[in-house]
This record gives sequence, structure tokens and C-alpha cells, in this order.
Amino acid sequence: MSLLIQLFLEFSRSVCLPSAALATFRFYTAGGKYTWFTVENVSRYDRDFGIDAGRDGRQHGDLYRLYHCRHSGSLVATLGLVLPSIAIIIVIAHFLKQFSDSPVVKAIFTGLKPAVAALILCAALNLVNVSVINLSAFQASGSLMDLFPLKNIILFAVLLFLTTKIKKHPIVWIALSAAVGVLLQF
Amino acid sequence: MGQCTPGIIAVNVSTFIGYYQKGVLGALVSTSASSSVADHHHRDRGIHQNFASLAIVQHALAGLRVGVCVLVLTSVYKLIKNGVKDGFGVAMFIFAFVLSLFTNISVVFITLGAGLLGFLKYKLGGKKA
Repeated sequence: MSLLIQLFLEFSRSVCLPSAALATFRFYTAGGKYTWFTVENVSRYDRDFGIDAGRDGRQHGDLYRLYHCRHSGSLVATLGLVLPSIAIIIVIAHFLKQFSDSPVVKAIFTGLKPAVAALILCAALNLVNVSVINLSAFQASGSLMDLFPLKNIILFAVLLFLTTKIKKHPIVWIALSAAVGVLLQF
Repeated sequence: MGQCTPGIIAVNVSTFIGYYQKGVLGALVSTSASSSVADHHHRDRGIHQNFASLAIVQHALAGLRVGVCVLVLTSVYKLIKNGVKDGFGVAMFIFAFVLSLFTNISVVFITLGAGLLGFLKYKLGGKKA
């Protein structure tokens, strides 16, 4: 029971840090206080959970079901990570709703909206760097063919053209790109 | 907002959407839904690992990643169209883009800075926000 309480409290506290990296760092530097968060454990978690989208605290929260406390640990660690966010966001959303017509809030959003678009574009470019072009292969060989794998570029261009011309649910494009990936052996 | 509030981005966004649609109950329900998907995903992990090693799945995932890039970029285009409407918007866009791409400054500070600059612009002259 005490381990469950510790999992809940520690993951709740980690949410209040500005990044998952800092939260992880805090666990690392606790001087062996947490037997469930050692360097060996985290390497194993990263290996087993590494390909999940959005590697962050919750992956580490969830995996206690598998390795330590089974179902109750998974549930408690996940709840610990999610509950503080819910409380904070409900308060923020409440104020935003109340002041949504305020000129000050609108002014803040004139700065926020373009910045958020730019931040998402940066994240998208990182995704393109891994999924469409291959910068690391180009840096190793210096060949442009390595930078722009032909199949990827053609699929990218065709999909870009189609999505601007035809309005379909995103799942259609996802399914289509997966099918092309299988057919053309990406 | 989902990105600059503490916690996991997808969960934060689901909490916001739930709250705006159905109040506190909506926030709780949508957050439970977004968290339970990940929880189930991890429960199926053993099956998933065997599944992911199949060549056909690898090919499908490689194609799918290209599709996801296209969808994300088209969404960014829509965000730019809706959010960048004047010279100040362009400046904020470049400001955040350059800082995010070429420095290690946390996105929290970039979004806070952009919001603050929007506020300062309003206070220091531009009456229309």
C-alpha cells in the first residue's frame, strides 16, 4: 500500500515540473530513494516503451503494472500523473471561458496563436526529418539520394496534393498511406 | 494551451475540450478516455511487440508515418491561416520558430513570451487585439 501511495504522490508532483525530462531527472537524482526508478529500470522501460508516441511521464507511470505493482500500480501511477493536470486545467479553462471576450485575453492570443503554430511546425519538421527525408544518412554519405528517399518523397507529394484537392476524413489518408507502404515495401 | 499547461499534451487537450463541452464532468470523462487508451495499449504490449516485428507491419508503419507528416503539415497550414493575420503575427511566428528550432529554450517560456508580447502590443499602442 505504501508503495502505491508513493507512486501516486511522486507522479503527482512530477506533473508540476515544466517538462518530462526534468521530472525524469528528479527521479534519477533522488539518490536511490525510488527502487522503481533506477537507471537499469528506466533503460528497460525505454527499450520496451521506446517506440510509443510521445515518450513522457505517463509511459513511466503506466509501466508499473508490468514490472512492479501490476494493475493497481498502473492505475495509481497514471491517476497521480493525470489528476493534478485536470485540476489545474479546469481552473484555467474556467477563467478563459469567463474572460474570453476580454480584449486583454484576445491580445494575448494574438501573440500565442502564431507562436503555437510555429511550435507545431517545428515538431512537424522533426517528424518529416525522421519519416520523409533521411538527414542522418545524407550526413554519412553526402548523397542527395540518401537525403530524399524517392518512394517517401513521391508518397508525400501525392498525399499533399490529394489532401488539398479532396476532403476526406484523416483516417482515409492514414489507411491509404499504410496500404502504399505495404504495397511498395517502404 | 495544452502544450503550455502542466501534464501530458494529449490529456490536457482532452480535458480542455471536455470542460468546454460538458463542464467538469466532461473534463473527467474525456481525460479518462484519453488515459485509458494508453493504459490498454500498454496492457497489450506483449502482443504489440510481436506484431511490430512483422515485416508487413514495418512497411505499413513507414508509409503511415509519411501520411501523418502530411496531415500534421496541413493542420499547421490551417493554424497559420487562422492565427497569422498581420505583421505582428508574422513576427511572433518567426520569433517562436527560430527560438524553438535553434535554441534549447523550453516551449513554456516561448509561449509565455509570445503571450506577453501580445499583451504588451495591446498596452503600448495597438487598440484592436
